[in-house]
Amino acid sequence: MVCAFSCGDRDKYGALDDYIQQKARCDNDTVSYLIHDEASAVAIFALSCTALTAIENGVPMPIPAVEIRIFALDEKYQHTSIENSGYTIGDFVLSVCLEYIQRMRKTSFGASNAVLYANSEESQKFYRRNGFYDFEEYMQSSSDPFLDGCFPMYLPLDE
Amino acid sequence: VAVYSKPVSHAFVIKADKVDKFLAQKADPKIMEMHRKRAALILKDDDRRADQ
Repeated sequence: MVCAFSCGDRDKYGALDDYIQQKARCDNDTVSYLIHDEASAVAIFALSCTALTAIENGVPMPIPAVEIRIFALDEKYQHTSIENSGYTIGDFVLSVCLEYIQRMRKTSFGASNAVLYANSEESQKFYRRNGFYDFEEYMQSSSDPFLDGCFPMYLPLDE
Repeated sequence: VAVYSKPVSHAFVIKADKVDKFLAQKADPKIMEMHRKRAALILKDDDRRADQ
């Protein structure tokens, strides 16, 4: 099922497809979750522990968080609205992802925020629509060169 | 019994107004309720559709 998963545009998402198909299951830095219907994979998300780092007077203050390292929909399900709901399949999958995070926060570890790096302005709008905020000026982004050009975002989880 | 402790005590050594405000920031209850309702529609039978 995962072997047929594709985010679409191979030039843009080829590396992500390769990771999902070949490496996601053995990556010790993340745990990946597959959302599927009877016949095919719909979406994959992968979670990892991280810290949201606030900088004050040059001193980094790590705040425990959960990072959504991968959030990908198969191209067949992208930009697809659920009839009469006003939401897309991506909206629902993101809610499932956050529900998993909330369950783990209640049973396994503490974390006050979810963090992710949106890889386009379009995805940034998607996450804003779902409650995420852009990083504040005092928050430190990851220095991972893989994330160059991405938009760091966070979602407070404590109610 | 789950032991739940947030390992963030070291993060409060130096405080500033903006960072304090962030640390005190709560989730938007409307947003979280929206996510809960949508997730409940998908996760009907104890995660039947989500396999790790």
